[in-house]
Amino acid sequence: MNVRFNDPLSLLPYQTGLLVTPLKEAAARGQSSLDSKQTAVVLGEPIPIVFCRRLSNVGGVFVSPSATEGRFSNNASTNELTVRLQLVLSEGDLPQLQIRDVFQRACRVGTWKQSYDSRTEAWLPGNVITSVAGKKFWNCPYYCGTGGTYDNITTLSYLNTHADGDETWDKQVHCFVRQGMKVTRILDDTLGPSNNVVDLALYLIRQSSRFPEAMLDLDAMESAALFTNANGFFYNGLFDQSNNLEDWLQGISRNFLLRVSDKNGKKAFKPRLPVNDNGTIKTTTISWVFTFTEDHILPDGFEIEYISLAERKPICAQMLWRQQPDDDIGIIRVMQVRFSNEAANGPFEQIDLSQFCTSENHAVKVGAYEVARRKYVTHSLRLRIKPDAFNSTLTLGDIVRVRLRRETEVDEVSLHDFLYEVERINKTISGIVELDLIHFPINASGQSILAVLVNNASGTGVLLPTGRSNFECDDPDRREDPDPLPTDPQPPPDPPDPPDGEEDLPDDEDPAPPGPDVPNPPDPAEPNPPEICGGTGGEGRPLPGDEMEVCGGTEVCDGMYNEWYLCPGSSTEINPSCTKVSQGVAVKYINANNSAGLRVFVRGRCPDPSSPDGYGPPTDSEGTPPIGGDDGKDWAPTPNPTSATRFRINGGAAAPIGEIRSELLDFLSTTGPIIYVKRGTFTPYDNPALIYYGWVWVRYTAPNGTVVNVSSSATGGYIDNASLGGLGINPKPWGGSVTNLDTGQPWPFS
Amino acid sequence: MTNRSQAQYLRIFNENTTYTRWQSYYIGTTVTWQSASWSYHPFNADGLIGGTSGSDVGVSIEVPATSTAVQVFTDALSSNRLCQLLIYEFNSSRQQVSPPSNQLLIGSYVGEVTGISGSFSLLQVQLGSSLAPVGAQTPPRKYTNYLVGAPIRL
Repeated sequence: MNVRFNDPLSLLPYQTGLLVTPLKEAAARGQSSLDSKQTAVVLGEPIPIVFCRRLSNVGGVFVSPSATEGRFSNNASTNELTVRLQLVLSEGDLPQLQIRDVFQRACRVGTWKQSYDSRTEAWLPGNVITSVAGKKFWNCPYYCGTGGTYDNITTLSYLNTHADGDETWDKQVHCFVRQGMKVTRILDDTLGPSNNVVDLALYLIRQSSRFPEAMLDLDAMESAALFTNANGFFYNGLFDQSNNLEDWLQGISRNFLLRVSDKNGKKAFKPRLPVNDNGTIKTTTISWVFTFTEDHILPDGFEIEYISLAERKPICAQMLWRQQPDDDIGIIRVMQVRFSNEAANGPFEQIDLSQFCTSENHAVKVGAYEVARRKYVTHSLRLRIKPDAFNSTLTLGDIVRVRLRRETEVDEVSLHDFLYEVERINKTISGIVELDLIHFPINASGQSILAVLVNNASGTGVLLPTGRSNFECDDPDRREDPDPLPTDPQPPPDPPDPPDGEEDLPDDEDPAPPGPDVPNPPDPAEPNPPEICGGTGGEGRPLPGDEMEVCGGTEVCDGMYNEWYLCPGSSTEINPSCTKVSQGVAVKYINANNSAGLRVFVRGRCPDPSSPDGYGPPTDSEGTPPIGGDDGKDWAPTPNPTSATRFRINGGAAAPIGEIRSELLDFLSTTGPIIYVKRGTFTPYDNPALIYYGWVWVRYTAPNGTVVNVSSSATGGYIDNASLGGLGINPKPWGGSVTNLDTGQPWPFS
Repeated sequence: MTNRSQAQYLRIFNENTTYTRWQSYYIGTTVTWQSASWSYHPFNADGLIGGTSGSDVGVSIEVPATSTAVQVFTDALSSNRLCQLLIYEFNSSRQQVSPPSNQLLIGSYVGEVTGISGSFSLLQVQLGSSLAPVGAQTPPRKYTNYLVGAPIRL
């Protein structure tokens, strides 16, 4: 059984996002610098995502697009400068901006066009500034861009003119985007701008291509989207900072009173507060799905961890958000949220929502949750319980009751009686269920304290003035002009080369196992086995009569005690079927004539006075090739004898050696250096008994000049299989049947 | 008297194809459940069925390292196949021949095969999410020459 709860229970509130303390506090991230120098795109930067949807005068985002191309020219007489910029507004398709929403610095100036999936307008990038006598030279960029395809990107073309000496020509341009990138909204299944953070999360998860669709809990996602929508938690922001997706999901969910959960392996957002079917915060009496008592909890199955004092002390939450007027640039606002009479002078904890939050109520409710959970959520619990009716029904996020008797005083029983929210479920093969629970505080009416506090929290509704009263730098009538920007999509002037900028590696390699074995290097700690020399046949193959010895220099030691073995031809090592044929210090062995087909092994042992027989453990050689060939047929070891000069058949023990029985001459013949047994020419002798005792002699001269006699003498006086190189299949082959001699094969002295 | 038993079912699949259906309760038998055949293969699974993302949520499967198992899980790992674990509970004091029609689903988990480890004879297969807790993944697209050429230098 595996138990995967490795994390201490004290980490649970942090892992669930209940306790998160900002590591650093800084200026509001939603603030834009108006009077800065125009920025340029740098390769490798993330393409920004403008994600917003302005509804009921809430929402939208102010962005400062970077330039990719520029064209700079001047009038040859007045020196008036004309600046054209190609700008990247966002990834994806954005509805057309309104004329009143485009700026350079804080001024509504210039001529603008907007396109999707292409560059905008046909002008060519370049610097064609000329020097005008008596005028200041325009020091404009010389590297003006080359253009690209702008696939799935919304682009802007900006044109403006500047009088001689105007130093604002290189100032940043800005746009107020009311309707951001189009996505398919989960709530109405419609393609269009969205301000729902769940839509943004789904877009990013899907675009990351690392998450199968089957592992998304879309029902839970839709419920979470309904929750944020019903409670006015909207995302209106620019997403342009490189992030880890998991980190971003964890971080952003907390600011929408959501949390990321994995339920049955499927990822989803889940509200941190109880909700009604319509997505609103549930402030009625909470019911629970199961009550755990002493009957369910296993021995040592109760573990409790109280949240530390540092995370419980009252704070004043400073909530940063962005007030976004309809006709002006947004301003950052701060709302302080605290309990009455608590943390009046701090500590202050800043929570910056200004990057995406344009609703005061949103900021206040998140702040209310942060200060309330410090006050009321006191502990977490881990239970090990036996399976029961809950086993098939209990799911993540359910509310359960734990009611345990504490009998520690005489005549008085106290109760551990709280509601909890199920944070983790671990089911084991043994049936034991482990639950991680977080305290779910309720009031006397059975309502969720946090839900009531958050639901009732609301902002002041006060809108601060922007502090701007002078709009004279705007072009006339721009401030109230809601007309959309014209569009003018154009192909790239100079398509990138190579066209796709990619290198596709071939994917035609099938992994395969490694090839034939490569022998490992010998272990220097192990003695090398002795090697056998003395074979006079081809490639050192031993022949009957050869004197076998341990090759010089391969002895395991001086004075090695040799034990010679003849083993069956199939043997790869000395085994019980082998026969010890000779032994002694440095002794050699002469192959018997009837040893064809057998292998020779030598076992070497070194002197060891501590051993009972005076010699130590054995080291065995490898076997020689079979004597006379692999199966005894390849009797002759000489591949191509210089000559096979003589043969005879002796008529028997009584007959003189050298007598050639002419009636058998057709039985053997020579063809050049190779001796054959003729097929089908054997004539049975009329007196087999004579042949039975006959000898066959063959004499040949090996290439090294050695004259070799092969005879049947060693077989006991009759011709047998071995002495005929295995051609005979009967130890008494002369019974008269031609089949007794398989003459289809050469009697190979080759 | 209730004799509570659990039967575990494992399915490896992708969008279009189911590659493997195993069950580990009915030894040596192929059973039919939910109109599909589940062949016997020994394995044990347990772990976090539900939890907060990033808190080691996932399921671990122990399986003998047979050639079939090695092939099935390494293919799943290489090809990003999904693995679904189903845990049913039922009263085994009745028949034990085939899955009872009234067995209750007490656990379900869908995950990718995120890791395989173990010994020569035993594999431990981790199911979870391939969403890496480290590394930048968003925004998903970056500026390239293909998209914007050689950008202006200001």
